[in-house]
Amino acid sequence: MLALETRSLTKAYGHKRAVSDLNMHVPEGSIYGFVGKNGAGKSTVMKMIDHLVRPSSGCIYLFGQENSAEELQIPRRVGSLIEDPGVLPDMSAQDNLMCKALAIGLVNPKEQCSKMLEAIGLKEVASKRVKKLSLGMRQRLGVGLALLGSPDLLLLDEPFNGLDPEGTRELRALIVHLNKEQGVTVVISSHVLDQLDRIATDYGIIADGTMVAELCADEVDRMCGDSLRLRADKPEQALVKLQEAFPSFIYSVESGDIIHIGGTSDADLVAIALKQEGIAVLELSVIKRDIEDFFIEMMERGDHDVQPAES
Amino acid sequence: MFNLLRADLYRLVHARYFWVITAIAIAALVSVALLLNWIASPEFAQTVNDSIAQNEQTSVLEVDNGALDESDEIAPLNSKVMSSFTYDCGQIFFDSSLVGILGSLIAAFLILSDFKKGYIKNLPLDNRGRRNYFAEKLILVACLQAYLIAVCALASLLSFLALDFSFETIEPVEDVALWLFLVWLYSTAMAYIVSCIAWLSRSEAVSSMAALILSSGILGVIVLQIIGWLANILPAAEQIPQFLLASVRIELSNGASDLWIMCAGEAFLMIPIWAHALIICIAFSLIAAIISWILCRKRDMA
Repeated sequence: MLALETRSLTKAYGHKRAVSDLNMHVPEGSIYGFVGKNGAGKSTVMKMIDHLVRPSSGCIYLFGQENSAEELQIPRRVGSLIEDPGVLPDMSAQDNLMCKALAIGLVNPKEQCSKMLEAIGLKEVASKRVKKLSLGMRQRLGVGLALLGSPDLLLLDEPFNGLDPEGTRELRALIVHLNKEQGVTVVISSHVLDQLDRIATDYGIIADGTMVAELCADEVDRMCGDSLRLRADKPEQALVKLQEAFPSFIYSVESGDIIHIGGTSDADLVAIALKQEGIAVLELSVIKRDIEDFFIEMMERGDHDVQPAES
Repeated sequence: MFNLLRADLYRLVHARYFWVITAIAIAALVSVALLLNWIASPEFAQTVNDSIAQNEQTSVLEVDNGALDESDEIAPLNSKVMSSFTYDCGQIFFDSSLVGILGSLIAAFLILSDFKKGYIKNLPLDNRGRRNYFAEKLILVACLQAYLIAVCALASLLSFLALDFSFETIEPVEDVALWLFLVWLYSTAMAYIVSCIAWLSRSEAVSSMAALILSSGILGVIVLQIIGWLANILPAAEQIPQFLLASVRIELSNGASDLWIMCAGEAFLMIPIWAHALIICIAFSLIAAIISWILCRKRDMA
């Protein structure tokens, strides 16, 4: 089952479309990395899912049900930290948690807040006013607010902002723990791609308000590993022959005669195969690419030339 | 909705601005009582007499056979007898706009704090959640007005009693309760209008200005003036004031004594003033609440 699905989700502000016909599929129990440039529409999508912003058109389904207003259970099943943590600066961390705990009707709110403070590492500063806390502590408080009520779906928008390396590691461990032990589905948007790389099981790439591609982690690993750049004297024939010989590799064509071969860095293998077909190799080089390069390329190019490998 | 109310009450109790506004209300009323006490004292009379004597360059005190000498006390200029509890409260904290301004300001701060700090992102805001949110806020605003009026009434009563003031007329409890109820309705209507402006503008500056202009009565006075001029050209305009909150303010500022008098306005002939006030206040409250809901329910909340 999908924990979250959007169909043709659109949000327009006047003539400008911040999100345009977005189709998103978040498998239940996954950690979904939501990647895009600044202004791509990630926060707007998350706000629409969390009812903070009304979609101009389209549908949102949570756990198989349309995100309709009358379903009392659904709002409590979504926890969110979108943009900056919505905390009350003149109140203490404990009081901030208590306010939300009371607002969503938790049983034993004081006990639950106490446990949450411990879980997010703010027990020592529980009675300190939020405006006196560091950015990282406020971010942790925001995560704590999102987790109150034991949501089944967690929306985290740039949760690693302001966290030191230890804090980042702890938050990552908490997310993985929630996902593995409690089956919480997590949607994280982050610019810190190597943090996402360590925990995400699925990815969605958004550019200019549209979903460019949705991939699982294995596909990303295959596609953003080392690849080959090939220029041959008969590029169309070379592409066909290589696809027949090595169907598991990922092929894309650029500028008419440059072929990118993903999923391998074995230049000799490709060169031999082409020689056997009588196709001359004009250029064959290994390209090293990390996840950041891959995603930037995806965001800039769109999904037109990407052929995810078949499983 | 009950959960939201619990959460907001918790926030209020832990919010500095709430206690600051309460303290301002109490301090203002105690200060007024102390001022009136001083005005009613022989020392004040002495000060006034000395001031007159200094201006006229003649002595107020005449010393002759059996007449007053300097060791005798000067009689106070004012007595320590107030007209009635509701009349004096009406003058001190109602007509002076103290409770109106403070009540509207606290309502505006409460509503805007959700948006300013992004706290609203923590609340369930689907359609049902939004209905609950707006309804709860309106209920809370009304409760806040009741709280402020209770604080002001008690502070006034206790201050005057502590300073040995008395009331010329002891009003029936029902009349006092009715008057306080109508004052609450009026304050709530004002606070709802300011809340509507706060939700629409999401601006502290605009909301604070609205609270000051509306609740102080300035706008009402200006509107009544304009209608008065209009009535010279268009006699039908004379009927408009009876439909405005400004007319209710005038009716209530004289205390409970006039509540059972029949209205002068043509549209409300044969109904007592208290019923007129009730109808107008409820109407304005409903209009403000409905406008708030219609314009804000589909609006982006963050």
